[in-house]
Amino acid sequence: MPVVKKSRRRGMSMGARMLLFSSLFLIALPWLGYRYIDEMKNFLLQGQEDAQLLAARAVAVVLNGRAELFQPVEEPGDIAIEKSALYVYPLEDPVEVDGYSGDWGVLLQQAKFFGRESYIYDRTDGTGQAVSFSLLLGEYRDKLYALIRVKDENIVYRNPKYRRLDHSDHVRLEISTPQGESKRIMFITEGQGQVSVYEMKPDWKTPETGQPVYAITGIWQERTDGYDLELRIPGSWVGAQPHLMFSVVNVDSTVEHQIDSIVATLKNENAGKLNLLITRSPELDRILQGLGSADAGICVVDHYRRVRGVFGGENETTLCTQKDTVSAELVDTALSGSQSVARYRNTAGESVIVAAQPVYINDEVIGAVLVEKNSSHILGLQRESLQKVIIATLIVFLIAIAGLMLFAAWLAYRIRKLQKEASNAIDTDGRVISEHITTDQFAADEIGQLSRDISSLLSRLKSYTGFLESVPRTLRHEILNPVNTISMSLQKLDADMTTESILNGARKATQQLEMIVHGLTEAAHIEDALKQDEYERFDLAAMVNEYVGNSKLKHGEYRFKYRGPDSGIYILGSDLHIAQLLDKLKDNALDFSEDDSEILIELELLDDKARLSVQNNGPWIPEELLDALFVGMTSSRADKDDKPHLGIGLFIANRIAQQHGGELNIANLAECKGVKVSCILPVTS
Amino acid sequence: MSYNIAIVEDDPQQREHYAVALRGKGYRVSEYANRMQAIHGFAQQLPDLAILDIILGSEVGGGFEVCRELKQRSPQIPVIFLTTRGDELDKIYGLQLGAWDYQTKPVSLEFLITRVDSLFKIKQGNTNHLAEVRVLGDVEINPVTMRASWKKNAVELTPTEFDILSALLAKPEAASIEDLVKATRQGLVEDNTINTHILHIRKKFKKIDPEFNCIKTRYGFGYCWICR
Repeated sequence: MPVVKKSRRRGMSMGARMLLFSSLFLIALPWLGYRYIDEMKNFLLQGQEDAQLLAARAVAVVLNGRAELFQPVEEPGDIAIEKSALYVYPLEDPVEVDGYSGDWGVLLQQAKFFGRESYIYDRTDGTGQAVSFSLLLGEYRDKLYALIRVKDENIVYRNPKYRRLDHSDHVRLEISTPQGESKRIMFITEGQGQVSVYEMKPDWKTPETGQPVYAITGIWQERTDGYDLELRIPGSWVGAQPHLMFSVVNVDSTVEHQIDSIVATLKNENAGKLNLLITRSPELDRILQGLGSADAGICVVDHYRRVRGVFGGENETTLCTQKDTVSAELVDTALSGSQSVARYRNTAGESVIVAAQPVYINDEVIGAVLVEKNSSHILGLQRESLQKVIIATLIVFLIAIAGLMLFAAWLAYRIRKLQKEASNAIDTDGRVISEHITTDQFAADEIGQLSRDISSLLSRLKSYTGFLESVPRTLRHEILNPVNTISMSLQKLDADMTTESILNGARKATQQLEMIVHGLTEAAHIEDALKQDEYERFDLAAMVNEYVGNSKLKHGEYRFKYRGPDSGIYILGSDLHIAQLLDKLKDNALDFSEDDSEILIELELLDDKARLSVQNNGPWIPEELLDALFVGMTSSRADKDDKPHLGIGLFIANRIAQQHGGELNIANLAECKGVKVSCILPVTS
Repeated sequence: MSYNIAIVEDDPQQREHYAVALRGKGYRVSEYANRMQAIHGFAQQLPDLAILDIILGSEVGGGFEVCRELKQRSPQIPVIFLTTRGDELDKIYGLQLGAWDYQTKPVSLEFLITRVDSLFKIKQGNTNHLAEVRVLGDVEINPVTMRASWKKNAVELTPTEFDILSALLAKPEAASIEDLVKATRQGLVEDNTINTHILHIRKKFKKIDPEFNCIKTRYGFGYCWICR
């Protein structure tokens, strides 16, 4: 009977565990990728910020000590004048002087407002109609443009019948020319359209010459709540250090024709002075041009946060372009003497990094340098990387899923094949058709193990069914003999009356029948008895030694010989059943031995196993019968005595050996006549 | 007076044989073929001893059921089971009977009658047979009443166990399995059945004296009684 190998290979289940583990990592992959990209983005942004701070510092270092770039006035120190300076925006395109404000574009928002607090004259003491205006100045190629938007509900135009010019709504301009002259210009009109421009006498009542000034162009357009006046003043009037003042004169009554109020760009306390015009410093722009680059905007502000120089940057730079002042926290920080950096979102929704550095003159902060750079390319890079990671993860997932499905399909296929073969191995009546499953019989994984287990199971089942099938045949043979004896005895009883020997024959036959039944019950009960065994550790060597000694006493006609240690080989098991096993091996040996021949019982230790063998000098057993002997109901011996031979002894011995985790082998001796039955049992320490 | 013996056996021929043999010895015999009949009969008259076949027709444990009924009515009634299998011994043990024994089939009528006699002797109890007592060290046995004691404490043994113990004591050098099989006076006894009996005898002695260790195994031969 083949011995079942209990050792299991665990390789596959480790693999399965690894598979599960790596699947978990697959799930973590997108998250890790996202984290990595996020970190990378932060790293890049940080690097960008640092780079911009450095760039800003470089610009600041160049500007340090260049007071003339920041100081617009000849007489520094007049705070009021400095604060009331009017900012002239650099225009990218010339403005068409037509009275319509559309071509000023976004600059309109930057217009400076002059209201009630800017009144320099009020005849009505605040009860009259409120007049206010906003002023926007621009410069394009040496020409100064101005848009004055007056809020006046009641426009009074010039009436030509009056000689004096101050009887209607008009706008005044005082300007200091580069030649040092002070001029008074009045813009007055009889209706919408081109206005009349006169140079006035100091009382603003009559013109100096009566000839209009043609150098200055002005167009007057009415609005629902007032009027717009758009002007163009030539550069020759303005110069490098321009000073000027606008005032709006309001006349409300067409009856009285008296001036009701005047709103001016410079307050009364500064009478005699003019507004300072601040333009972006061309010098500064030139310097910046040398420092900047196309993708980074550089912007320089003075300590009033007024933009003094701008260069580069994309069209949508947020902080500086088309503004006169920059009010942002980082500008405050820079003007207080520290560098700072911030991220903004511009009007187009893009992320912008701005770095600010202070500009010093003699340890005093006179301005700040702002370096702006659009960082959306970094975010774009992040988005792109994220997309790549997602796609890569998706591909990995798909491959993994496909791999798993293939693996599952492969397993399912193997299991189905195994199941089919296993179910076909036994027919509908329970007979074993094939005892070898070929599916995966050499595979090292669990399915291979299962296949081998099923094969071993089938082969054991086949042995057992073989045993069952042989029972009736053997029994018929064995039982018929004593029955025949009884039958003949009875016939003789009928025939003659010399009964003693006949009765003896019948008794003997009955005894034989009893012994057959005895043998059968022993085989039947061995399973139950083995199951109820309580195992204990005992000395096999001492037991075998004693056993051989007792056998010598019991069977004097045979020569027993023991070869092995007297004691010291311990096994875990049931001593009575091991003794029963020895009984069976001994009986087997006795049955095959001639009287007076030697029966050798050997016990030896092989690493962690003990080999117990019983050897006789009887005839060889045919090789083809050797394995079948353990099955039961197989006997090879010639009838030597009148004992029935059911072939159950070795079957029982084999069962006991198996129950103790051992195995039984039978082999013919190689050199001389004889058979050796060995039992291998595991020893315990 | 003569004792009344109840036989519960489903095979009429075998039942007839037992009945004839027992009547020949002067016992009165009531015969029952199955469990219902037996229980019905016990309701009218309780027997002094019962012989029960374990398999009654289709009822595999019918004999045990009958025994349980009987013991409920009178716990002291001796019972002899007729069994075909040695491994039923443990089941019979599980019933925790007082005086009981068993005979394996094929039953020797001669042995059966001896058993019946023994059980009645045990039932009569301590009659005047003290003279028969044999003493061997701490163990005392009375072959007539089939009583044994260890250090003056009675050990409750079944007649078969008593016979095995007697055979063991009779051969101080060692009793072979064959000796012990013969001593059981049973028709067909397996080696394992003797092992089971020895196990039970050891347990019964150990119940009285946990230190008991006098029955030694002689591997390949049998058992011996050595107290050291």
